[in-house]
Amino acid sequence: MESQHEVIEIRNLYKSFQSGYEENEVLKGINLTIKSGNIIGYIGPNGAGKSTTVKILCGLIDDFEGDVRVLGMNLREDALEIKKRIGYIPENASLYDSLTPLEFLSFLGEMRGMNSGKVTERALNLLRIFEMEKNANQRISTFSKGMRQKVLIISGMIHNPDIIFLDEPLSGLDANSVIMVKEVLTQMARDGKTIFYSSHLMDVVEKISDRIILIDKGNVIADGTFETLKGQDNDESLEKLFTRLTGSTGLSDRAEAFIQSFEK
Amino acid sequence: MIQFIVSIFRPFRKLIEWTGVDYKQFITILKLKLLLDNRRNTAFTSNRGGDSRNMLIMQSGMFALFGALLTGLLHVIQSAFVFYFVIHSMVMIFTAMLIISEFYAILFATSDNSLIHSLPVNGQTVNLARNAHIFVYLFLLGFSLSFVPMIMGAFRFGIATLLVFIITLALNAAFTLFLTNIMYLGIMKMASGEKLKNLMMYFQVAIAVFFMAFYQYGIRLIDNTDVFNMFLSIHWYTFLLPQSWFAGTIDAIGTFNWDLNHLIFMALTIGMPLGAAIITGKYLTPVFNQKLADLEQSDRSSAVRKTRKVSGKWSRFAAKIFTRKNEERASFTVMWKMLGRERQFKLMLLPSIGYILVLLPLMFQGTNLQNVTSGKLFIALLYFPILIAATFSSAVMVGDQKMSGWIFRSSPMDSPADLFKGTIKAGFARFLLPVYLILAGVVLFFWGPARITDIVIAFLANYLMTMILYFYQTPRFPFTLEKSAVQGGSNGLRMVVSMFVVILIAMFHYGTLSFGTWISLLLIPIYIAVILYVDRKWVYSQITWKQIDENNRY
Repeated sequence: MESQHEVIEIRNLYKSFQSGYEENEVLKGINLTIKSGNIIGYIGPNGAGKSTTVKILCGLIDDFEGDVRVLGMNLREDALEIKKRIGYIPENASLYDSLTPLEFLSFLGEMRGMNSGKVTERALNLLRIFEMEKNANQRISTFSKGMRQKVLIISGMIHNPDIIFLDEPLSGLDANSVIMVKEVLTQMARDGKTIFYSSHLMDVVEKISDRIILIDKGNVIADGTFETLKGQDNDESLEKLFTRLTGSTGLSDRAEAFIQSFEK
Repeated sequence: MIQFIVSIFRPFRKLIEWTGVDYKQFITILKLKLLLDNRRNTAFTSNRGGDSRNMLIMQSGMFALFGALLTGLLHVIQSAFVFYFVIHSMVMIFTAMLIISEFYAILFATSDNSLIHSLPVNGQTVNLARNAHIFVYLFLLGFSLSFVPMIMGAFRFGIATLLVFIITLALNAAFTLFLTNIMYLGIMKMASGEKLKNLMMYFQVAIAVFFMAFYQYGIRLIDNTDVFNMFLSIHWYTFLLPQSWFAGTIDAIGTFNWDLNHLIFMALTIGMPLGAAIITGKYLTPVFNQKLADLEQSDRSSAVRKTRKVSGKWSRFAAKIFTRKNEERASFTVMWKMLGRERQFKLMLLPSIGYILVLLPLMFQGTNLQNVTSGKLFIALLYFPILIAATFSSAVMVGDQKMSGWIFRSSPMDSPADLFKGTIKAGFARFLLPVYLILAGVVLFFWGPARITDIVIAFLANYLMTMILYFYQTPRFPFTLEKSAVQGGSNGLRMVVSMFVVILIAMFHYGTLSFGTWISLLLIPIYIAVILYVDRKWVYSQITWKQIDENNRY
């Protein structure tokens, strides 16, 4: 493995959205340093600010407060250079349904400066690995959710990026594909790539992450390996840890109340 | 075709790159957008999910055919200026209509924002690709529409006018793009988020109704005055009309007329669109794109968005009157709410209500009130709302809830009939009934209480026809189809047949007026019996889940 160096530095990251007359503060001063070759599990409850962080780091949202450096470059000044070297796999992204995966992937490759022959060859190769070679010239509109997700995953990796941002990447994938993606991510990290993995699937995050960052209500509330985060409470799983730290207590009482509501 | 279109930009490569645009990326995005256009379902494609291709060529062909049909009108025009004035006016009207109907697909295409913005492409490139795409689309429309007229013009006024005309077409498209940007930016300044989307929708409805009014009253104007001669002499306001600039320039070159007026036209032809293009590219588009991005973000980020509290008092009251079974009532109540909120549906339906308001004064035109009230015009008034029913039956399918059918398919309903009955009755109660009551009020006011029987009969006929019109559509779940797909296919023919039946019913009612009130009174129980039969035994009980499964996706 290559020697580790800092690839993401976030200082005092704030972001709010205007909603009518109200200001909805999504990120409230995030500070993080992330090194190469790591798999970062970025977790948090719904509405915690995970996707917003990922979108900022990928240059999709540019009106934020704070300093962000990715691959040693300032995100505000060198967003294009950064985008060339990162991959983004969004959650529920819209694909161009009337295109075939080959056309779609060729478009993305060409936009990233790859020559069309190379991008076609690589796209076909990656589609083959995901057992989608026979669908290469079929329109995306006919695909199942899992197949669309595979196209999305390939689209984020086709240009061999240094950092890959994944926002809930495994939704809709079958068990074999999940295992394969996990294996791919682990091997990529071994090759010095950085994986920024945002998800709700605690078991996957627990298994593949070198470091877990827990965000809640726009603040980082825990940061470390699973072993260090378990701490004195010795949580048996990341799920338990998550529940404890995000203050989601009394879940069994609430479940019981849910069941009882049918009996009334 | 796409390759040919993008090759047009090749000579301008250096100029494009000089503005900070990455030429290769620009061409890649433009090619993609045109490819998507080429595969987009339009009114001319099957609505059964087949692969659509070569749509740009088909659409261009349709426009060319339409333009050819208008050539007969142009034949009588002697002056080159008026000839090209009329063609450019025609192009501008069609362009405006296209912008309205293709609003979401072309102008407000935000679905790929997150995809494009994640790529290493700068703002100038994205902006130019967006503008070039709209420009190409508008130019292609104008070129196809005026293809036959421009050949005719070349024969009559010289080949030079043909070349200049093509250049002015491009300038026309650039200027229209500018006006569109200005117009929508103005609206965007007024609101944001959901409010903005609603405002846009109402704006589009207003424009559609305006065009209908313009068409109806404009045609009458042409009947009454010598419209072509009107444009032969140049007035101060001639300089305000962009089509005059273009026509004046062509006229100047075709007839070697270089007087001051023609020189002004030429200066405006070159100066205005070029100035507009610079302002669009430099100032308007970045603001426009930022507003679009904000629009998308505000939709997604707002976890605390407030929604207007709906009491549901009216829907519950109406449900009690129009429905019998629980399932039907549940469908009625939910559809009542959704019909009030689904923008694409309203965009299609509301203009039909507006058209009635436009057409209403025409009925009283050209005759005094005494003559009107002594006649039987009220019959036409009372059957007008069926126009709404006809539009409703297709509009209710339109929406982006493509896969929402599972909600109904997974419900423990042994037949889908109640869902459809609830939907059509909610539509009738929410949109058709208020209009009918207003028109009934007009009839009562002008024709007096003697027409109450006719009002009741026409009401029953309206209700009956609304139910039947809806039934004669392909059974699809509400809000699950693209607008373009709804407009195509066999539904159009069914609609024509249904409208023919409506006319027959109205004429039948009209015929009974000669036989006195007792015949009219006899119609009431007959209609009620037919309605009950249609409601309970015939129309809806024939819709099966099998039919539904064939036409819907889950």
